[in-house]
Amino acid sequence: MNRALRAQIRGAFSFPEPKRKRAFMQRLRPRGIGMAALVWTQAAYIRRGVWCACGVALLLALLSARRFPGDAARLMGALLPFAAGIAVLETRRSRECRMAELERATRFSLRSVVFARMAAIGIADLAVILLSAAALSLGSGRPALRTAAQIGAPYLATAWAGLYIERTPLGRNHSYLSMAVAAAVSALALGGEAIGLPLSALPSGAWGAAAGALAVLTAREVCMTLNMTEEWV
Amino acid sequence: MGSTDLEQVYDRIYRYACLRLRDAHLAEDVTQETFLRYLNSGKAGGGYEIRYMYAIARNLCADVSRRRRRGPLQGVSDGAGEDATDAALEGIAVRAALEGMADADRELLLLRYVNGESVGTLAALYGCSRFAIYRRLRRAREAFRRSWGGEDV
Amino acid sequence: MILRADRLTKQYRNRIAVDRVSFELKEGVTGLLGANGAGKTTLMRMLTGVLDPTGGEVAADGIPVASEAYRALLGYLPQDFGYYPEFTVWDFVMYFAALKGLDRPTARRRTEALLDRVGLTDAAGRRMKTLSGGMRQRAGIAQALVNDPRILILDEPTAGLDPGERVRFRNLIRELGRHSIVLFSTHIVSDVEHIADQVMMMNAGRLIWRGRWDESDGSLEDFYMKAFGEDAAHEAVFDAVGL
Repeated sequence: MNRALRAQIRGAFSFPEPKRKRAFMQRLRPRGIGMAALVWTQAAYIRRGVWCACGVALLLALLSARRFPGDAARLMGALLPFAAGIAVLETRRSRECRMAELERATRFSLRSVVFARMAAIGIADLAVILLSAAALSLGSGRPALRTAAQIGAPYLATAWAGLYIERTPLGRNHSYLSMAVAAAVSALALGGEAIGLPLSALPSGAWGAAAGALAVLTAREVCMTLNMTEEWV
Repeated sequence: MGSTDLEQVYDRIYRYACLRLRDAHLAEDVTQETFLRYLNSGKAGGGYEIRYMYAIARNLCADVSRRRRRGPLQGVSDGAGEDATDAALEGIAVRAALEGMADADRELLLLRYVNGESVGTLAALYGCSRFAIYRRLRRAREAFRRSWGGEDV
Repeated sequence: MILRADRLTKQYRNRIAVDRVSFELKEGVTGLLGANGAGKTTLMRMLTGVLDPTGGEVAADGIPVASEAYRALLGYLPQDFGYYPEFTVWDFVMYFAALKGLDRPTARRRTEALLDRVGLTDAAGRRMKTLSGGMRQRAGIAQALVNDPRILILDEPTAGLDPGERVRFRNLIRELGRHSIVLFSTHIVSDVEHIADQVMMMNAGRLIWRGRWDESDGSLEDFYMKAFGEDAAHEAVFDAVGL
């Protein structure tokens, strides 16, 4: 099929412009968009640094599982709070960058947009935690669930405290407090033993309970943050 | 769920209806009715299933044609533009090269080379195999080439 | 389509920003004139669903403002807006196309066409933070139009535009008013004179005048000064170029 013939065929047809297309398109019921599609959209616009942090965390988990199998969980527990700090920073961007008013006037409520952003990062971080736990557990021989709770608890503690501080006047006026929280939790995870906290000796049940309680507290903070988005405009 | 450009879907259905009905106004009516019937059918998900829409448009065009007598197909000669005495055409023009062709061949050329539909879509629309579509396309191109070769360029 | 505001009110603790404003708008361009602090921005925010009213209702053909269906019809340009610093002009418009529910092919096609229309095609790859105020405003106009809205709310849209950009913008708005309901607020009288079919005037949260205005009605500027009085008139800016 040669190009010249194709062009001749195309040129042989000629139609007038439709006169009522625009009016009809404007009246057409807009296609439904689910939350999954919104999460996907927001994921595309999250800063690359956030995804890099996830990737780096996972890579370090895999490396430390091979090199320091005994200590790897403690090291990951000290690293993941920074991923949580970055996630908290990302949730405030609409307000900080003065995009909240424009986002609010779209088909989605600002609450949905912020929730979608949090969900996209949360899902990625959860995947990092679970994959890291699997890798670390293989290296150390410890149960995977215990490892997941041990490295997830510092992440959740940072997320909870970071989101709480963001809602206070202090947090609203100071951008990087969540990273300061991450540093503090990281230091505790790394050096807790040195100050007398028997973190590595804690039984699996204790880690599980701690992670569970922190997850509930974090979920509560997420809801309160979403409720506050109304005030961001 | 496919990514579909609604305006382009509108244009494709509109051109198809224009060729079938030779009336731009009726073609827009059919195009809009096609969209509405498609949306109300419950088959519409996130994207627009073009083959199903063509099927709806084909049936609507057949209904309209049954209700009116078809006028002769007008060609453009010497770039004279639309035939002002035939209001039904309203600017729809096909080169004389297409005049001597069978309706089905003309329609196939439009769908494949103007609207850019895939062979799979055409096979589903005409209820035949992809192989049959390739054969029919080749035949249509030959018919066009013969007609074009005889036309004053 | 009819955009109806019925006794729209916004009350804060110690003041009433918008006081029982009612009107109906059809396709065409309406200019909302008023000095700073008259309540124009608050009114516009309630018309876009960004701010919840204390009283009254807003609906378009019966579709209430708080619904997704209303916001799907809407294009909005606030008086002051930000951007994500890493966004290019293209990213900025495409982001809002996605939030307005456009599929990718449509979003790409519309973004390209709109950037051409507002004269930003060459700047499409530039970061928003590198743009001048006028260029940023044009990017804002592009995002407001990306979903081909039936209701277009523009708050001080000509602020920051140079005279050439302003003429281009006026032509664009006039064209949009043929198919859509366009409401733009301004304190520049000549903007209203040049493009609005209908004029509304606000003062202290109230709609004090509404109607059609053309050249045969005389100077809008004189009428504005009379309506608002000498003191308020000092707040308004009369564009010498437009007089």
